Amino acid sequence: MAMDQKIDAEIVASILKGDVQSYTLLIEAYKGPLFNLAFRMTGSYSDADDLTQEIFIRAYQNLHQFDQDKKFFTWLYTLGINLIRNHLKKKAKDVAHHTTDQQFPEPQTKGDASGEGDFPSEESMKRLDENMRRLPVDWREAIILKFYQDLTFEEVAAITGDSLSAVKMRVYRGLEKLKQLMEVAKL
Amino acid sequence: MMFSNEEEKLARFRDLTEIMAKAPRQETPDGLTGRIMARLPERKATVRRLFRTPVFATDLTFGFRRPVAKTECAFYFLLIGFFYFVFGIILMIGLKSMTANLPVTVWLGIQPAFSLLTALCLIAIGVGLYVDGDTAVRVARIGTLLYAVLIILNGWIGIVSTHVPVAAFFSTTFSTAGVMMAAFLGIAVKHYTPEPISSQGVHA
Repeated sequence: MAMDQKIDAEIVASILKGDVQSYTLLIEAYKGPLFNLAFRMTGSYSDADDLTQEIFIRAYQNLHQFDQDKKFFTWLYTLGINLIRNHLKKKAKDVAHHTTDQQFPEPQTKGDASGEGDFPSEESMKRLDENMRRLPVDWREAIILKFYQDLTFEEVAAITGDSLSAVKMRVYRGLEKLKQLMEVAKL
Repeated sequence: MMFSNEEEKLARFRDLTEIMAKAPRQETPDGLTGRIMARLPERKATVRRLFRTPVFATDLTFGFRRPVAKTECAFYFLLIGFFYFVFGIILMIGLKSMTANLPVTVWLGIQPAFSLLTALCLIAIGVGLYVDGDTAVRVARIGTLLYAVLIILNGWIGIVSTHVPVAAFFSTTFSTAGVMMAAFLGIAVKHYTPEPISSQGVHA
């Protein structure tokens, strides 16, 4: 998902030198994953849109603080996760109530990228999304980063700033809870 | 609940994780990039930012923030080499006139030669980096380490052998400055990149 770390660092250096247009390269590279992260976390298309814009603007304002020896996407995700957490806190109500403008993605093609298996049914995805929003925010974000965003446990830990064991604990506890919720929903 | 390994743990939730992995990605809204670019604030010139502006690759607060090109790396070695060269010449002339009628300790006597030798080595590394950066960078790494060790050793011998407070003070000062320059060169070598650094390469 991430562009080459060195390329990212060069783009950042170029922006800091005044080449603002180079920022489009970073936006293009990371807007998809970040938008999906925000969408999965909030369940709202318009909130995800606003948050994605906010994340990139905040990143631009703080670009001089980015340590170019580190991965840009980790830094960007950390910033994004913090903004999403603040957004969810500020809203202070269950995001499950936001179903009015919620759009569950329609499968674009049949089968996954590897060509194996079928797409999960819309019903099961919808049920999973709904149950996901009943999880505590920190469990939910760990699961989304790990499985929807396909990151490693180490990358999730680097983004959230938690220890590897804490991330694993959240993921497994979250999955356990999700499993229970899904089974209850089936009954 | 105990599991033997990660796979076993995950296998229990395979039905859920497969749904997540196969869930289609949401398309980003149209014109998102344009809207972000339009909302970007102008970067105000503050004193803090002025110091962080990478005129060179150097950041005055946090060392090097981006890769150091071979010409820049060579320049740093030549610059510090030139400093030692001038310092050695001054010591040579100064010591001759100051201590014409005074006994000079062995340590003090070899200081001009030490400075000139250091200058010679650093300039040689600088030239080497400029001519063939990839090969010379290994020598530069070892050379910088050796330079740091010699500077510390020289300072320590100076303090121990002179027994003159003023001489000990100057020895400590120059050693500290030398160590800082060695650290600076070390960071420059660490961030050395053989490739040309320009945003053009990124856009290509």
